[in-house]
Amino acid sequence: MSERFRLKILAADKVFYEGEAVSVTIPVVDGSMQILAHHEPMVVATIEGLVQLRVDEKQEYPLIGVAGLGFTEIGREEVVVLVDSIERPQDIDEARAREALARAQEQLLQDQSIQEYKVSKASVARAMLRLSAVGKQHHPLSPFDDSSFY
Amino acid sequence: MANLREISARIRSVQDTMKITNAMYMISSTKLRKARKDMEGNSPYFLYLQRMLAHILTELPMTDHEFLDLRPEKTGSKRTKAIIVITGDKGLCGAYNHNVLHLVEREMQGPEKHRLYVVGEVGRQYFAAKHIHLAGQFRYTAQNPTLHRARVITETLLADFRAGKVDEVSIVYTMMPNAITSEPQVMHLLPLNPKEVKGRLPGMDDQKEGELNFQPSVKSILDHLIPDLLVGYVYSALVDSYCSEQNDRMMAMDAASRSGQTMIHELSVEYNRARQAMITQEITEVVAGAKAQKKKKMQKQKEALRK
Repeated sequence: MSERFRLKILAADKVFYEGEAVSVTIPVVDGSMQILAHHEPMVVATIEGLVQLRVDEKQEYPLIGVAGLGFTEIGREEVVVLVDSIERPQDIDEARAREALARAQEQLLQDQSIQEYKVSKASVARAMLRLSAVGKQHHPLSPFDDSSFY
Repeated sequence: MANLREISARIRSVQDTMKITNAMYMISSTKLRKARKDMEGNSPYFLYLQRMLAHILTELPMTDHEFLDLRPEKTGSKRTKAIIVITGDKGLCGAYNHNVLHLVEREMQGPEKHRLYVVGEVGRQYFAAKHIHLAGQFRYTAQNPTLHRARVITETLLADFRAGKVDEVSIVYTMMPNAITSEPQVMHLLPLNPKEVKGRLPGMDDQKEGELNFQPSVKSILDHLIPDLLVGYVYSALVDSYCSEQNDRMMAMDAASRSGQTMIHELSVEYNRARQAMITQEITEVVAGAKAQKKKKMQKQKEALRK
């Protein structure tokens, strides 16, 4: 039996998850990072991507959240994931995400300052990520059928 | 007669006004509840943010970062202070707006240059009337504070801070230390003072958790953490102000309704008195008239007898 640790996933507008977990995977600059119990204390910056967590080792598929920028503090007693925003794939409105992608891509084509360029680039990345999370939801082996966890 | 009609018209107008003040009271209390609820969703995140920054700063007190730079070389008139002013969009809320503007004026008395960033229509009008230039206006209402708006405000200020246009940033807002009173506050935002961050944290212990490992680097974490923290401060200032405004409006409307009631009471007493006076007068007139008629009749009878 694998050990559990206390985990909190906090977004700016809500508490996404609070409780015990077996593992949590966070997106970092050079890929993704999985945290298990008794991890070395550290603070890690996280990028936009998927946060996956397993509450139970028997659980076949991880629970997924689409997260914005943030960071994670791994302490001795608990792990806290702080992100701008985080949503479940089933809460994402596909049509709106598609629109946002089109809008961001269009903006990328316009002449703009470096800062604006970075902003548009980030919105393209965010829109793609959200769309891909929505896409996975329709897969036959999708883990999203069970929403009772949230 | 005219007096009576005047009084009853007055009573009706007071009653109509009371309907409005009652409705405004109710609306304010609903808005207040909603804003409080929004804030509750945000507060765990914000609390952790503060804890983390305080933690990092205790671990690494010598951290060098642009947002921690006090810029001591700029003093006196060379220094520019930015003040974010949060007022309401309309009056009818007691001394709420006045208190904020008064505090801003006091803040502006120093030798430094000042740049004002104003949220809310009342503040905008006030400074426009005084011909004080506003460096930034956030052209949306102070109603319904959202994180997005806090983010926009913070980004504007951070850009100006980075560009060296401002050397200090503070925010003037209103908070409620308890449910009845509200008072204007100045909160210092930039450059970030580690002691102040810790001071704002209730029950923060100085206990060290041991060496921390930062990935990819302390700077990259602070780069993200500090702006986020400022967004949190601005957001909570917006929500606090909004709550205070609604609370002040509730109290003002409550007072207005109550004084309306006393007014109606006084007016109805006056109305009844006038009515009574009118009736008495009518009776007197009728009696006097009857008496006069009687006298006339008697005289006629006397004359008839004499004949």
